[in-house]
Amino acid sequence: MRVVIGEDEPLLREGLALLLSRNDFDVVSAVGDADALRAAAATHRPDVVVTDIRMPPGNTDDGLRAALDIHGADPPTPVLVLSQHVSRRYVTTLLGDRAGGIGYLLKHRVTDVESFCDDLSRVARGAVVLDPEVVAVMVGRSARDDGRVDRLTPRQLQVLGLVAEGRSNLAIAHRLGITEKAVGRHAAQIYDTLGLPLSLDDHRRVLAVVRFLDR
Amino acid sequence: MAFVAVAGPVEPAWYGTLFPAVGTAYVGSGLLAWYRRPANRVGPLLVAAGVVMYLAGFELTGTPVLIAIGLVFSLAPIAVILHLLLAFPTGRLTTRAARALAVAGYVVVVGTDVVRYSLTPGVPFAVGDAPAVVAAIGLTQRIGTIVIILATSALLVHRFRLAMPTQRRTLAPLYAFGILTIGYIVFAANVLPPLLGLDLSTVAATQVIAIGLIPFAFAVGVLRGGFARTAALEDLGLWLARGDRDPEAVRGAVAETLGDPDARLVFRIDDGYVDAGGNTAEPAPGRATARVRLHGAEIGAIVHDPALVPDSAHVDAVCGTIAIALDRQRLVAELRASRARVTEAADAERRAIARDLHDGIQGRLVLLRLQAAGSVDAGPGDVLAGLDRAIDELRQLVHGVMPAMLVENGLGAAVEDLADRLPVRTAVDVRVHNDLPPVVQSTAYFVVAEALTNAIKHAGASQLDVRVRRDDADVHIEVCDDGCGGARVGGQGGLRGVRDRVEALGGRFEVADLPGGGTRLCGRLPCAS
Repeated sequence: MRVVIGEDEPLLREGLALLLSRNDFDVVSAVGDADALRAAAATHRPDVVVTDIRMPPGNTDDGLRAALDIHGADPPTPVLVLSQHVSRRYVTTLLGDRAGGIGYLLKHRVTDVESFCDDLSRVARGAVVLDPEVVAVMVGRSARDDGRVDRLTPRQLQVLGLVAEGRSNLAIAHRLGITEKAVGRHAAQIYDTLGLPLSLDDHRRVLAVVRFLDR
Repeated sequence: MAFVAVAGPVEPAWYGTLFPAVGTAYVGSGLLAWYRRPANRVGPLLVAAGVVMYLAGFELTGTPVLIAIGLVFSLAPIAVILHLLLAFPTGRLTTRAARALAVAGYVVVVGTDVVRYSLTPGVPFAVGDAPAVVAAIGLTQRIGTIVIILATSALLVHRFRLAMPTQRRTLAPLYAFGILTIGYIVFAANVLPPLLGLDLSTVAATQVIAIGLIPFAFAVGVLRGGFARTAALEDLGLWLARGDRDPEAVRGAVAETLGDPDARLVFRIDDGYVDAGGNTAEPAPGRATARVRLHGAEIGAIVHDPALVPDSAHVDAVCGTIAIALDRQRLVAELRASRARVTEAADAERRAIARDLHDGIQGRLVLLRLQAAGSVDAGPGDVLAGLDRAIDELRQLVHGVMPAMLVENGLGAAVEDLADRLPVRTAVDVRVHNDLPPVVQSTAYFVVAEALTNAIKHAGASQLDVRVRRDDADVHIEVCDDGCGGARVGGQGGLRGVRDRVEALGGRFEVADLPGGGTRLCGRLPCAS
C-alpha cells in the first residue's frame, strides 16, 4: 500500500515513515509543507495520504485544506489527517458530502502502531475513521441537546460512539466483549431511537450516524 | 462720650504720623491678602479701610477742606472694622443680618457725622447752626453705635457657636480682638483718663494703634486658609487651571480649601474606590464621602471629616471645581491599576503553567525514567501507559495556553469547539471572518470562555447564548445565560481579568442582569485594521 506523508516536524515525519515502512506500507514520499504534499500526491498517486493539519506555509489549517484538495481530485485519494486537537468542525469539513476514504485522528494515536496501521488501511479502502475523542465530544453534545440521544442507555451510547468511530459490528463486539449479534441488536435499537434507516452497510451507517451527531 | 480724641487741644508731634502709619498697615496687609487669595474680598476691604484711615488723618492737616474730610471720616474706621468682622472670612456679607448691620454701621457712624458736621457753625461747608439738632444727632450716634456693636457681637457669637473646631481656632482670636478693639475705641476716652490719670492724647494714640493692629489679624486669618471656605474655592479653581497637578498636590489643595487636613481624594472604579496609587480605598468609619461627578457620572469622591466640613454645599462646590482634574487622575489611576492587574494576571498564568509542568509532566517523566531503567518496579505496560498520560497532559496544557482551533481556524471555530465540550446547551452564533488581528481573536475567545465558565460555575444556567458580530470598527461579543444573575466585575477574579484585557485593547466590557433573570455580558473590541 503506497503512502504519502505530510508532516512539518522532521523527527515525527521520519518516525512515521519508518513506522509505516516497517508495517508493510510503501512510503513513496514524505514532505514538510502543504504545497509539497499536493504535488507529491499528484505525482505519486498513492493509495492513501497521511497529513498533519497545521503545516507550512500558513501554519494554520494548511494540511487540512491540502487533504481536502487531494481527496477531491480526480481520481480521489483517501486521506487520514492528524492533529494535536480534534474538533467537530473538522469532522464536518472533512466528511462534507464525501462517501468515505476519510480519517481524522489525534496525532499521538500513531503510538499505538497496530491500531494506527489498521485505521490507515481502512481509510485507504474507503472507510471513515474518526478519533474516539472527537466522537465522545459529539455524542456528549448530542446527548446534551437532543432528547433522543439522551434516552439511550450507557451501553447504547458506547455502541453509538464506536459506530461513529467507523468500527464494524465485529470490531465493536471484540471491543465490548459481547457477541456481534448483541451489537447488531443494540445498533438496531439505536437507529430506531434516532430515527435512522436500519439497512445500511458499514460505510454508510458511519456517515449517517456522524451526520446525525453533527446536527 | 468721646470717640477717638483727635481734636484734643495739645497734640504731640508724633501723633500726626499715626494715621498714615496705620493706613499703610491696612493697605499693606490688604494687598498681601489680596495677592495671596485673589478671590477673597477681605484683601480689598482692608485696602479700602487703609484709605479711610488716611482720610481720617486729614483732620490733623492745616487745610480747612482736608480737615472737613478728616472730620467726616474720623469715625469711619469703626464702621469699616465692623464691616470686616461681619464679612470675615470670605470678605462677603453673606447673610441679610450681616448686610443690615454693616449698612447700619456706615449710616450711624459716618452718616450722622456728616449731618452733624454740616450743622456745626464755623467749619468749612457748614450749612446751618442748630445746636439742639447736633446734640440729638450726637446722642443718636452714640446709642446707635452701641446697639450696632452689641448686635454685631451677638451675631459673631452666634456664628462662632455654629463654627466647627478648626474654624473656631481662627475665628475666636479675631472676633475677640475685633470686638475688644471697637469697645476700646468707643469707651477708652471716657474710662481711662479718670481711672488711670492718662491724658487724652495718649489714650487717642493707643486707640489708633489698636486700630492699626486689626488688619494684621485679618490678613493672618485670611492667609491661614483653614477657614477660607468658598473664597478659597475660586483660588483652587485658578490653581488647578494653571497646570497639571500631581495627585498629592491636588489632595493638599482640597484639604486646605475644606479646612480638613486629612481630606482624601478617591477615584470611582466600578463598585468601589481606589486611591491615586490604584489601591482599593475602603471608606473609613466616621468619614463622609462627597461624590464628585462629571457629565452626570460619578468619577470619584472626597473623603473628609464631616465634623470639620459641615457645609455640604461647600463640599459640593469643591467637588465641582476638582471634577476635571480628578477625572484625569482617575484615568491615570485606572490605567495603572489595570496595567498592574494585567501584569499580575500574566504572571499568575506563567506560574500556573510552570506549576502544571512541574507537578504533572515533569514528575511523570522522572517516574517513567526510573521505571524504564528498572530502578523502580513497573508492570508490563506501565511505562507506555505513563507516557500516554504524559502526552495527553501536555496536549491539554498546550490547548489551555492557546487553543489549537483558534490558531488554525479562527474565533468561530474555537468558540464552537469550546461550546461543544460544555455540559450546558450552548447556542453559538459567531459571524466574523478570520482576518481579525490575532490579539482581537484571542481576547474575544478569552471573553467568551470566561463568560461561559462563569455562567456554568456560578449562575446555574441551563441555556447559554454566544453571539459575536463585527461592524466597521468593532467586534461585539455578547454572552447571555438564563441563570440566577447577580454577576459583577469584582475587584479581582475572572471577569475583572476579562475587563482588563478588553480595556487594554481600548474596548469596553459590561455585565448586567437580564430583566427576566439571567445575565448578559457584553464586550466590544476595536478591530479597525
